[in-house]
Amino acid sequence: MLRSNILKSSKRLLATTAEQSTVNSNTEKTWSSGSKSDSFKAGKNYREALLNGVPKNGPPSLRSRKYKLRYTSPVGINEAFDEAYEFLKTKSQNKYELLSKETDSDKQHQLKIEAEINNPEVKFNFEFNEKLENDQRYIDYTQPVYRELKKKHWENYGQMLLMQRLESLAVIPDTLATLEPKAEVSLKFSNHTGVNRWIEPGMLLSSNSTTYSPTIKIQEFDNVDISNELYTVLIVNPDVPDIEKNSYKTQLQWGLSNVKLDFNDNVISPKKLLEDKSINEIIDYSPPVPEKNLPNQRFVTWVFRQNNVQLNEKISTRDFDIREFVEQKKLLPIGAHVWRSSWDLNVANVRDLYGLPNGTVFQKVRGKHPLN
Amino acid sequence: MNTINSKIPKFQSSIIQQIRGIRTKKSRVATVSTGTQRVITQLSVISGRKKYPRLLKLSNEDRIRHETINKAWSLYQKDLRNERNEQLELQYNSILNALNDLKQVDIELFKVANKKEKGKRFPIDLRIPVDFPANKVWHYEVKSNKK
Repeated sequence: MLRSNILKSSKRLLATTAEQSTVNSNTEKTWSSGSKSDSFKAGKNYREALLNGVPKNGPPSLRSRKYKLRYTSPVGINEAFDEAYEFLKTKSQNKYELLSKETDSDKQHQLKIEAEINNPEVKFNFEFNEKLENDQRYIDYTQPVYRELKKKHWENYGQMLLMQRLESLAVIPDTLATLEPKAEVSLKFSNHTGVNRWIEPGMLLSSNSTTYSPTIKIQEFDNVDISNELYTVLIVNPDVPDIEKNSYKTQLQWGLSNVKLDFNDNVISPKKLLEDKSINEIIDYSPPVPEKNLPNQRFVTWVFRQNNVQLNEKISTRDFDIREFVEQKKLLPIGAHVWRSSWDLNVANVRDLYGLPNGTVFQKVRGKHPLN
Repeated sequence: MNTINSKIPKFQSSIIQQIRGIRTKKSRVATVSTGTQRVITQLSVISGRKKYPRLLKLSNEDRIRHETINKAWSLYQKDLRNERNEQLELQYNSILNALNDLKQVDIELFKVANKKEKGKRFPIDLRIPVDFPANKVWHYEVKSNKK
């Protein structure tokens, strides 16, 4: 009884305070003076509501007029937010002051993150915009804070999924011994035969969709000197049948080196391959053509940093020892991806298209001697 | 009167949604027998929905504002905590220095200062020093009503 009485009076109170606060706090709010990039500002439709409180006609993030009018903010959120914003702003100001005195690159990087990580506009931009195919106006990965947010986001799901698939499909240790993931590698087949979406690691793809070379996106998170760094991409198939040894061998399906990347423009697409003459194609793309009656084949994409060393080598034979190659060229693996292929009715067409010899149909036969 | 009424419930209903542990639906006219109603009530009390508070329905903007407030509050608490810990560390070091000096000056006094008083309990009538102490410190004559 008592509680409901309090409740009634507080509702009245809310009605008056909410209207007052929207009237009072119409002044422009700005984050600390060091924060200069436009990508630290929320989109113009949302900025007002985010910083000065939800207006009378409802939050801009809600579409329907009915729900806009029905919406009310919690009691006292505007006053509390104003206090919180001022508090966090002074913290950020301190970080920018430290940053102006700092000379060490890694510490500067860390301070740049700390100065902006609590900015509500940065948080809003990152949360409610496309993260993988980013719009630079809102998510600009040249800013360390957005890379840090993306890294956290990736570590929460994408990275764990990748490592689980790499381990359960025994990609590690079948190709390289292990992987310490440092960059996010995404892959899709964005041509007329492909599926126009990013491939989840371990997906089973049809031979039609993998007819032409994939588009690879490599998102770096670390504080690397990206303008001088070169990258190598290798796609290997460790499941090629080796009849002489009664085992499997590894073949190189595609190899690229001397790839230059940017934090935002980091897609290796067919267009980029045509335009950018500095990219060295170690070996041209060979599509997956799995043999009939054999288990699924794994196609593993490995991405390496070259540590500023040019790699102009070309390889003509497909048979490949990836471990030896990586050791020889002193490559640092930073990311990987894997998809699987199995024989289907379209494999013969793909073989025709690339002029490959006819495949082998494997049968189950009982041998004279036990095989070891 | 009618226009006012049509405005107020709309406002109230949206607020009530944000209040935890309070019935938000109006009670309907009983269509089931009391026995059945009792069973329904018991089941609804032990249902999963009652075990966690109802979600706050916040718009995207308000969610970020709410998180910002929480972040600022936790950083403020962290600052206070750090300040207190620094103070305690200084106090501890000061005690340690004083005891080390005492050990140098007079080993007997040092032993007395560090004597372990086993079985000694905190005096229950010891009071916390306050700005305005009571005139009568302890009511010794008060006895329990039990016979």
